[in-house]
Amino acid sequence: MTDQRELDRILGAFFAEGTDELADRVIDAALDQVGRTSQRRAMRVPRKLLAMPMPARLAAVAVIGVVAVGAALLVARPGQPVVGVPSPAPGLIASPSAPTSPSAAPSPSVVPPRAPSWTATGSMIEGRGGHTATLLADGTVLVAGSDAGSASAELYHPGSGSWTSAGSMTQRRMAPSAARLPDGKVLVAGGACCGVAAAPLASDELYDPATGSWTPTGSMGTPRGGQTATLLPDGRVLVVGGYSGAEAGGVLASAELYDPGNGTWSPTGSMGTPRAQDTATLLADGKVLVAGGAGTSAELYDPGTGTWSATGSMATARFGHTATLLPDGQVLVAGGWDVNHAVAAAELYDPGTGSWSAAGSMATPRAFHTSTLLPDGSVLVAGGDGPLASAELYDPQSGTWTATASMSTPRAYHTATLLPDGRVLVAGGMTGQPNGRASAELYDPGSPGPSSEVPSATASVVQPKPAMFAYVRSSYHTGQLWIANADGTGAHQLFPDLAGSQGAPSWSPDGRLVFSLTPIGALGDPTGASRLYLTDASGSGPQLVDTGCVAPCMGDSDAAFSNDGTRLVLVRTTWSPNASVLETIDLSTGRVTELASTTVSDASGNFHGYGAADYHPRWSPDGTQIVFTQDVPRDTPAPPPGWETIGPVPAIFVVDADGRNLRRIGLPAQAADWSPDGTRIVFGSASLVVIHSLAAPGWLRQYYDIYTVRPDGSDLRRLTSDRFSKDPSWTADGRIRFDRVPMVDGDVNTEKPPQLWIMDADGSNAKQLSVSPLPASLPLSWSPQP
Amino acid sequence: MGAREDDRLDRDLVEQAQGGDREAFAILARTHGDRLMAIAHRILRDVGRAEDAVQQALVIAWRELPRLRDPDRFDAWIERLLVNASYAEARRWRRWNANIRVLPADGPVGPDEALSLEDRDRLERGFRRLPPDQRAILVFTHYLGLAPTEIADRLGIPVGTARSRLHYAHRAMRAAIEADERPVAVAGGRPR
Repeated sequence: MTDQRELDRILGAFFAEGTDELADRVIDAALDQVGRTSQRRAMRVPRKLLAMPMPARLAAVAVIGVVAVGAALLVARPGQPVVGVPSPAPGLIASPSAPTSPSAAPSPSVVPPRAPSWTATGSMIEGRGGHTATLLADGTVLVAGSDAGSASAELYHPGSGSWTSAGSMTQRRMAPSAARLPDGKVLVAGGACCGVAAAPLASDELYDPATGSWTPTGSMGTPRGGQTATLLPDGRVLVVGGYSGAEAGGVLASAELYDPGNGTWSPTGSMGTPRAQDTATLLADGKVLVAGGAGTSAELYDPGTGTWSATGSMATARFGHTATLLPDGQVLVAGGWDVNHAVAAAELYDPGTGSWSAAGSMATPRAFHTSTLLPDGSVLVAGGDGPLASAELYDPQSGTWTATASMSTPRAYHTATLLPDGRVLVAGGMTGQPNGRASAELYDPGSPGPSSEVPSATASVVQPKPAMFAYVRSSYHTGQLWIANADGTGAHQLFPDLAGSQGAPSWSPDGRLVFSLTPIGALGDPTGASRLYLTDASGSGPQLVDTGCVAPCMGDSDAAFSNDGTRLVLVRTTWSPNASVLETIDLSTGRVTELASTTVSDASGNFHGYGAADYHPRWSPDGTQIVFTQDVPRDTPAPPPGWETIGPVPAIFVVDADGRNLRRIGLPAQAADWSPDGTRIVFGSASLVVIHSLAAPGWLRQYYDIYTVRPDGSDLRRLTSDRFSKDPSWTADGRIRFDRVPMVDGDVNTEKPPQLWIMDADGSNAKQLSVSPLPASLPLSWSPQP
Repeated sequence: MGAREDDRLDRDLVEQAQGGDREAFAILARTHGDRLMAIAHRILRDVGRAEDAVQQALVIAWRELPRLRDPDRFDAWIERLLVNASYAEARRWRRWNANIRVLPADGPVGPDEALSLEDRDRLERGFRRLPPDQRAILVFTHYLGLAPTEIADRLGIPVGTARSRLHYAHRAMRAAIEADERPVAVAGGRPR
């Protein structure tokens, strides 16, 4: 055992060595950039703390109309490429089993844009208003609570459009708050019970989607209804303000934190102003913006210190408004009640300056409406006190509001939930009757491009063909090659540990595996770098593949067989020149064809030491083209205003097998795969694009979504919009397998085991496949299928 | 020049730079550059990437400087920007198939009685496997010699988080060192 003193000594010596000098050229480059960069000037808005008393009428409406926050707050997508709306429709993706032929295709090749629309979906079992709606990890939506004080809960299934009972809470609640915890459970807190003389509740309960059961958890220190709940990046839940029912005015300034680790609540300071029916929005820097609920003021909560501080005030006093985090990090606040009327005006909060600016006006004043960030970055605002059926869209690019299709039913105090397929589920709403509405409808943002009918809402049973996957497990100085069944069962190591660091494997058409191995001691030794090895799936000892790697070849990696098994594509790194070269080798003749070459030197010509710049090459099924990933310079494509990328980004290229016609397609992405008919390429995007908010330096977003595109770069389609789907590969029967990465601390966590999912080629019918935890090391390499 | 005078000079420069004085900022950048480079290099283990991180931190510092409330906190503040920039660089390179890792020649390897080359190689690999936040904690602890409370303050994280990150980082480094001490099974596996 290494004791702590010995470890301290070793680490001290380890860190003693290293560069202690910054090259002048770096300072010069930084100062050159500084010379072209203007400073961010903080605008100090004179802050008037208007301790505005809650109007009497507000007390009457009591605790209805909570804006459910929480899980939905984690959907900001800085840097999300704008590629049009995700389409739930299969669009023009050719049937994988029937290659497209322009003359034979029965359907037209171009379909006019599809207009945004509302369609009815199944009705809830029970009428509800002032309830909560929470998107669960499996894509279903949990609805709980009601203005009628119901204890029941229901689940909406987007695949079938139906509602099923989700059991009953242990307590009747109206206007509770709900937040989805990182472990997938839902915390439903507070609310009021029951009837006209409803009293706020301190109790809370947890819904476990795995068991479908409700269990009580620790109680808040103060009974609350009409409060906000916000999931913090560290997994705790911040509950703020609300009605207490007891105190004068009955509005709370206090805040509490729920710790999912031990199920307990603790106080975390108090706001400067009591608030209820306010909004709480998690900002990109991890702070929480609490706005309105009492006058114009707003405050910031810092989870790191547990403290509250004032920030700029809005121009308009509001409660019952909505707040939506936009992709650029700003917060859009819309509508709400002023002192005695609904307002139409909207405002934008800039976290960088802490100030508010006008964001136009809705056509209709709204309060107790809903606001939903759509996958294309626009914001859907629907319904509101009246009640109203109309809906409007805010476009952050132009800063304008436009009307969109109206709901079939007027709604207020309803819920709106963005589904993983990009549609919005709107459910319930108050009617003035004891029970709220049971009806629900779906908003389809439409499609600006080619598309076709919405798929029928029928659940399908997924029966994947048997396949296996291979993956590498690297422990210290050893490489292990493992294979497992498609559902994650039967995992086993193929042969004893190898001494060295192993690269990702890929399968040959006859079921063998090729992988690279960098031997121990290669660190710092350019002549001892990686070589390719071949093994069969029974685990016989790996054989060195003679690829003719001699100086200046530094090593080969990322090899893949053509479908006929006659050729190998691989990535070769060379020194002098420092390059990463994509090449093919004809295994019978040994003929080498260079397809693409890119330099891996830094600006001053030094080898930068981290190897290849090309990754994951894959042959088209007919062997005529190769898709691969290559690092390209930063800021390609340009990030949206207010954001910047740091470092190179990985991009997808396609090249003909003779080295001609090299072209970049798609979006920044890590790995791509061909459809079985070769007409489309699937990839997971944005996985390595690190984006800095100028307002919050260092805040990282690594989101993963899956897209397909034609090999010529046309017809880009987004298949998922959950932001944690990655590493897609096409199955032989034309579906797409992918991994869903768990969210931890508000970011995807690639160190936790992912779950294996499968969906149709148009993104519909997504189902979880794996029954046991998958290895954390990715990507999985799938065997060829029968 | 005494430390207090240094501090006062720094504060003056920070205030001038906050007012938009690029020359004052240039002096600050040259004064702090070496220290920032030392930290970034120890976290990122690569000169080129460390230089990128420092450059990024300096530019962000200039842009965000008017928002620094307390000029006396400039040192800690810019370190935090740097660590964040380093995280970005580190994550950028955390790819699954980076199976070729060649250390850059960082200049002469000094006499090193404390660690053998083998130890160093072993530590290097273990350290590179750590997530960036744990790397930063180790560098702040063992290179800058800071206590968890000070690190928490500088990085703007809760003390408990600093402690737990340090705990995990130590555990991982210990495992890395010890894992290598057991014989490596090479039967049938060692490339011939």
